[in-house]
Amino acid sequence: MSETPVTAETVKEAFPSIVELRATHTSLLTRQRKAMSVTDVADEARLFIRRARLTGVYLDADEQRDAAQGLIDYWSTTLVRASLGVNDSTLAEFDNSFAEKLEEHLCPYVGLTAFRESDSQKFFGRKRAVDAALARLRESHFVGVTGSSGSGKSSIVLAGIIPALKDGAIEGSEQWLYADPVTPGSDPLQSLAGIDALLQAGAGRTLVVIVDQFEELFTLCDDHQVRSSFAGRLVALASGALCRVVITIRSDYEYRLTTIPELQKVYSAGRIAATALDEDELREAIEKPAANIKLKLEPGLTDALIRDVKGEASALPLLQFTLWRLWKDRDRNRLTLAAYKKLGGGLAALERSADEVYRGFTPQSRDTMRRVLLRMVRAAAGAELTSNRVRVGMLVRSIGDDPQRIAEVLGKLEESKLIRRTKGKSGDEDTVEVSHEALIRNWPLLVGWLETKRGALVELRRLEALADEWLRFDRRGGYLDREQVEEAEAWLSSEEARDLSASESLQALVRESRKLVNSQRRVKHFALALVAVLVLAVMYTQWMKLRSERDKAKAEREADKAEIEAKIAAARAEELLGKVNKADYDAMQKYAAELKAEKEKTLQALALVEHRNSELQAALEARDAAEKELVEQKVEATQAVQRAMTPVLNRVITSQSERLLDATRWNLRSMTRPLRLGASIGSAGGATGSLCCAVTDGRTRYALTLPFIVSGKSDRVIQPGPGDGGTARSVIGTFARAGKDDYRSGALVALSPGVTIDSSLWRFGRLSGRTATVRSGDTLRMIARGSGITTGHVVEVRDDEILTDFQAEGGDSGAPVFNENNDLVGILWGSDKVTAIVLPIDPILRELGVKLVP
Amino acid sequence: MVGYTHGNPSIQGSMSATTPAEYPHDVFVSYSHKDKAWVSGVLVKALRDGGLRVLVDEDGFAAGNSSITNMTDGVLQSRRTVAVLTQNWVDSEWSQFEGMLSVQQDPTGARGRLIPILREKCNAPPWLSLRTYVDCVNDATISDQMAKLVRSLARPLGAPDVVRTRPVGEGLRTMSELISAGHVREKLLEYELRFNTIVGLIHRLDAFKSVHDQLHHVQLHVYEAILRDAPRIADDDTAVDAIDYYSNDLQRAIGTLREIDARPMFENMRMAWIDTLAEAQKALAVAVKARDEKGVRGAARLLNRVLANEPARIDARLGEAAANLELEAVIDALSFVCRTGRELGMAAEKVLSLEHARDVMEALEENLGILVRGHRLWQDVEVEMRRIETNISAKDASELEISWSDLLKMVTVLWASPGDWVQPLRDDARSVDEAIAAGDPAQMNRFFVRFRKKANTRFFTVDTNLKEQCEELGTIGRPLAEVVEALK
Repeated sequence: MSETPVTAETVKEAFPSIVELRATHTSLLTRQRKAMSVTDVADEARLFIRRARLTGVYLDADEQRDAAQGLIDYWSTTLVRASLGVNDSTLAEFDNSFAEKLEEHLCPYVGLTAFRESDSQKFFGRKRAVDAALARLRESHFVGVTGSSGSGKSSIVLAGIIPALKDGAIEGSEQWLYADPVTPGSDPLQSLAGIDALLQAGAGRTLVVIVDQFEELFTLCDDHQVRSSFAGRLVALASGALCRVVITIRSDYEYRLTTIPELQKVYSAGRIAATALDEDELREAIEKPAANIKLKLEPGLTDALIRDVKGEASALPLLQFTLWRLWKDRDRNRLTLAAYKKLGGGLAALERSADEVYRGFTPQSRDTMRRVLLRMVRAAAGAELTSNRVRVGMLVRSIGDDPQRIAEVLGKLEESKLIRRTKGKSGDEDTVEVSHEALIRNWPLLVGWLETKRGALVELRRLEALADEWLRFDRRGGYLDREQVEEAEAWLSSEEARDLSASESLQALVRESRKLVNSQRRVKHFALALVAVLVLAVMYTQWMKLRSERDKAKAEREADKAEIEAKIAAARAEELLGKVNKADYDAMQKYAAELKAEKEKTLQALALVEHRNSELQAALEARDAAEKELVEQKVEATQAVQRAMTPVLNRVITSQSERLLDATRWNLRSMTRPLRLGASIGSAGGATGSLCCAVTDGRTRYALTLPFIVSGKSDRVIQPGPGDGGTARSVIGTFARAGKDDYRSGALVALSPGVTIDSSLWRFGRLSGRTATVRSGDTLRMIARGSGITTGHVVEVRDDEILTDFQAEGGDSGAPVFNENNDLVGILWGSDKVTAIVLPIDPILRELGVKLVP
Repeated sequence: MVGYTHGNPSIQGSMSATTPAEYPHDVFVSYSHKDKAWVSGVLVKALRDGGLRVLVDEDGFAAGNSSITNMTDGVLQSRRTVAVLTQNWVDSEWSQFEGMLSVQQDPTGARGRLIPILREKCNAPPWLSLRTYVDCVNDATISDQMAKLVRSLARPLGAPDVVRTRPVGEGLRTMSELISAGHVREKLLEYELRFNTIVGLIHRLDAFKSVHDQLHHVQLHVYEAILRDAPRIADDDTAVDAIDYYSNDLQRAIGTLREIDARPMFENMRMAWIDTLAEAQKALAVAVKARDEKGVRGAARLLNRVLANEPARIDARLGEAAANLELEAVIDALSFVCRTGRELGMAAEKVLSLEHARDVMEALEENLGILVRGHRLWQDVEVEMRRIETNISAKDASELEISWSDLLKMVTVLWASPGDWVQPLRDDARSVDEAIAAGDPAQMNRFFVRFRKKANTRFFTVDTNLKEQCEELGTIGRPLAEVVEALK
């Protein structure tokens, strides 16, 4: 039983693994059987024993050791029983210092990020889901994979479904065309831009379109119109014969699909849930990638990981990250329990590693890291925090720290797999983002920073949305008004804003808006001048018409007169323009030139008309009318021009709708008792919106709002809503019932005892207790959690909705809209940047069977 | 010779009568016609002279039957079959015999009732190795071999579990008394050396057997028991107590082994592995105190190093000693004094006791052969099963698949001799067969484990029987030594 020592030299004889050991044993056994005698294979058996016992240094699992020892014992016993000598037959102790080192680039785990198509060799444990999706795709043309954040839906599509299809999982699918996966982003239609070209180029081949993170359509795109067109486009593609559409969407945004019924229909037929992996699947996901590169897991490690992850639907990124860390800390070719313990076991690896990176920095760099990460988080609709992809150049400029230091911080974060870089055309064009939203939710340090910044992030989102808007209008519209500029400036100079580093575009918007505000008065004058020019244009046209007719002399006289008037007006306009400062003057000159060109066009059109007799007659009559009601006509023309120019002027000068008081100054976002009309409410885990008013069905007092505001996990409704920091302590009542259409109807919240609603309308008095209908042009007012107290107008009255020019903001939904008599006319439902939709109040009250509390 | 069975109640009492008595013939002779001369001239004649009812195809068979039917009929109608093993027989008859056995797995039990007569060195089929050959290669000893064959053919079917040896002691004492007769002493002096060897080998056998027993005990009552209780040691006090007890048990076994090791006969082959056991025992004691499961397993692994190899080694020595045990010498000597006693007009009672002693010695020799060979075969089976067991799981049973047919062949030989244990083991074997046919590793694993447990139980019985037989053998050591003493 003497043990011969294992050395680097002798260990060369060992079998590489138990597999080869057993294979050799089997062939030896076969030969022994054939020979009918051990003596014939004795030398080989001795060699086998020697090699097998050396193999012990590679074997750490008890099962494998027992198996190897069992085979060694078999041969040594067989030799002994044949009276043949045998030496040492004890399996060598496990000693990983002899194991082969695995190169870094072999890493079989992806870390936090979703699996990409190129990771398909590392992707395991998802056979069920992938097979289900493929089965759907055989039958239909649309599959939607849903699941919570971190449930692995993107990976299923990118590393599961797509590679399988490319491998011919469906007959002929290896011949299909595959468009690069897109995410909707803030400009969803743009993301589908290349599809048509591909379809055409495909010449009859099936095209696969993948839309990852479909929820961005709701979180990043605020334009309902754009949403519908995008969805419509997908539905059209999916119903065509030559397309397969695969989307992924977070399950908490699934309900939003109900707002796009045609998509909802295809989606529910092709829906597949990315459920949590069961134990066997987890084992596969952990062990198979390792086995592929002969990486070993210390016995018990897989079990420990499974114990910690099982049943956690969103734990996959954390598991992958843990595995990646274990790989980093591997012992040559082995992931060890010791490393796992060092990582803190469980799913603490992410926290530990991120903390470690943070602590590894100098205090200065730590601050940079904090700001870099804060920049990679943004508030989505409903104040939820999500990941934000930013360009490196922009990041460097907006943070304003030493670029060297930022680069170093980014490098370290990337190396630790906490962030992910996507290559752009140049280094500045590279984009970076957190590897997975799991980081935002699971790293206590970042969560802590974000908690204190949530309000600021929401504010930043609001302002940056304005900046985006401004950019979309090509800087011609979307400027801030005086009050907004002042607010924004104050906010931007605050400590928290500096931490969050406002984007360049926002800073530019504020700068430009400030200039504009400073020249506002002059601008107003300028506008008057423009009006005068236009009036002249109209008059000039009239005179032109007259001139071509009888009474030429009179016409000429009138023309002279008009010319003089025009000259006077022009001179006056020029004088006014002279007062405008140079930059503004140039901008306005340009604008005036455009208007002039417009005018020329009109004149040309009218010149054509000139030759038509019927028109001539009308022109003559018009001349009489013009003469008679010159003043009146002038006013009318002014009004007509104003109406026509409203959208443009609104943006250049100021909004028709006007903010009267900021929401915070009327305490709409904080806890108020009694409750205020328009105050922030919501339900735990759900959205945040505004309270409309008090209603009653004769027995119970309710607060009225919209269904999706109180559709959170809990029935308990809180004020302020979750987006404004409301907690269980702020409960005001319980969700009672809602109208049939759970998106466009009212919802009732039964008020808890002692909770009352104050129907004060700020300086306008109190709600009258009556309802009213509206007509186009009516002036309206609104008190809302987002935009505060504003005034606006009815733009158009439709069957079931009132279009208004309120500039609504996030959290306004549910707000009371009332007229100048303080009669309630509707509930604010939603808005794009131009129009706000108000649901008329009467049908809502009727459906719910309630009346306003007088 | 028929009287032998009736006249020796002590022998009969020790035999288990398991066969229906009514066979028309005592023995069927299977042979190749090329060997006809010797068979008719020597073998059949000797058997018939011995009073046996012999069935042999030259005169007993109906004409026109195919030879397979003939052979089957012959086997079926006779209590035993003797096969005259020559290359001719192997070439011409063996395949038929095998064919007959293969029908429904030897329904006639022919395998167990076959006695091979080795007439010529030839490639005998492996399972025959279990049987005791009657060696007729050497014509010089043929008459003695025939007498022995006749006596064993006259015995009822079924090997005794253990042959009791008390009559041998009496016979040997009678022998001592006769030594004073001059030519008896002279004749017996020829045996002196061999008697001495036998006495030495009996001691040795006893020692090996004791060592083997200790190891067997350690395997069953220490090693396996430890593995069973180890997982509970951290949080179950009874497991701690139990393992503590196994540890003490191990210490006792080590004490016994050291005592055996100290015997003079082991002078040149000290059992160094006892130190490994002691080391294991120390490690175990420490681990129990610390309630350290890993430590307990480490100790068990040390034990396993000994248990994996040593029983086979001991067994090899045991077999070697048994093979060298020329009990023939005692039988011959007893035959001689028996004849002489009769010639000298010794009291019939004494002659009878000598005859009785000789018969028991013959039965003992045969039984010991069966037991040693059986034990060796079982040990082979155990080695195979142990290997398979360490390499099989519910997911991968490939080790079983590649070994099963060989293992089954080995076991088939063993269950040729009848017993209650055979059927259940066969049932499990069939289940394993089915699982392999179905390619279901989980079932293969499950039924193999069942199979192994039953086979182990049987092995244990064989082991116990051998041990007892060795103990019985030990009782003739002293009277034999006395004979040797008297000769001086």
